[in-house]
Amino acid sequence: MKIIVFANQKGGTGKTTTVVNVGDALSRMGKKVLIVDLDPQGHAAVSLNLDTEPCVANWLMYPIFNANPITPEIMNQWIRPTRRENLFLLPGNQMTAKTQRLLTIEEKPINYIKDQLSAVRRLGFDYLLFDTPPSTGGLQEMASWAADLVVIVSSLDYLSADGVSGFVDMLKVLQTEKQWHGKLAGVLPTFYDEQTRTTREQMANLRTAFPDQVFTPIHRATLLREASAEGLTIFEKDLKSRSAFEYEDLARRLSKLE
Amino acid sequence: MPGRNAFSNNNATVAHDLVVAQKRKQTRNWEKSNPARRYLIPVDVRDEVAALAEALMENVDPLACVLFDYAETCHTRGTLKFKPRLNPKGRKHTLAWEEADTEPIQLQSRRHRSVKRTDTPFRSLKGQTAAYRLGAERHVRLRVIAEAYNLPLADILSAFFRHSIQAFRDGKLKIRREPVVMQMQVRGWSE
Repeated sequence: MKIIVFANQKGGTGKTTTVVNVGDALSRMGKKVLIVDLDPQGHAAVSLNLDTEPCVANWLMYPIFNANPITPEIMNQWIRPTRRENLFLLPGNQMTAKTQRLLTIEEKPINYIKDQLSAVRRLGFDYLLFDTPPSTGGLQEMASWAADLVVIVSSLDYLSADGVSGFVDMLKVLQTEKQWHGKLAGVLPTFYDEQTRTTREQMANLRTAFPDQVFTPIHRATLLREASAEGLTIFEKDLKSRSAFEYEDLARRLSKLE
Repeated sequence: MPGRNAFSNNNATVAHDLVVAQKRKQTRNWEKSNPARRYLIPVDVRDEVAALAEALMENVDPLACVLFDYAETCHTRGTLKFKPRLNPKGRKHTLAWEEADTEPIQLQSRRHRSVKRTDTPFRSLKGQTAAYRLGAERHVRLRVIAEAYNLPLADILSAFFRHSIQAFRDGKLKIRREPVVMQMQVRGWSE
């Protein structure tokens, strides 16, 4: 099971949209995919036309209140089918934020989330995609530590780029001080609009800072916003659109990385 | 005036001392030993195969293999039968002689006529062929079937594709993806 985290310290960069569409693209390639929504807003569920539920909170709090480890059967009661073949979701809601505070109070170690994934590993998923909250430390840090690959999602503006810089610093700390064995898959520019000078400048800055780690950008598209509003993935909304092509290409590239 | 650069404080590239993922190296041994072969199949069949591959978000070659395997199974089972007949477009005449007793025929001397080259229909195969990587074994099986019916390979392949695509449309054929075990490794032992 390959674990991929999509993260940025800044919000509104397109993390959830990316996770949902990459997840659907991978599932359409025949891979069994589980999306874990660590964002307390629970928008991954909303984007897939499902209800937000405290499933992530239940999963992460289970070991605190129970002596027995989580079994695949217990895990299965929190995993929701998305009515799409091969695509499953572990939904979250505001309870996820409370769980994060509880984990901080309990002083849970950096490997806490990775340890809780042992039951998920036995469910036969090919990919586990983490949608992370826009913050520093806590769940985002634990999820990154559990990941094989990290994708930093950055909209092309200064504040988002600043978030990328901060997140990379955090990854370096994980690598040097906490024996993180994951890898940086790359930076994914989103909301790309080649007609705007600022966008072009930020794109150039990203390419200079990450010479070989910048993915092909995802263009700003009304279709993507419409798809989220309708609870559809871009492949259900318009299979032939540029956005669908871009996300399919991203999914293929991610599947080839190791 | 240029905007601020969030990465300007870094002397080297930002991901300089970070482990980055690399593209998985592929040996392409199978592709080397199973080259794509070009078959002269009708354009509509080629386009239908390509359209189905696009709809399934799959490459053409694995889909062609699946369509071939299904039709071959049907052929072995007897549900797909071929009825070879003469192709009227491909019929040829040859010259023969026999003795006769008729009036002598006066032949006119041949006059030179310029021939406009543009009138000559240029028969190009460009765009009428399609290359599929079916694998060496399938190609041999295809040849055996074609030889049994004394038909060109491409005719059999076209018929196979047509049959399988029709079966897919009728809901008789379901194309599914299956995990492929690329490599096994020893993870433990027991007595």
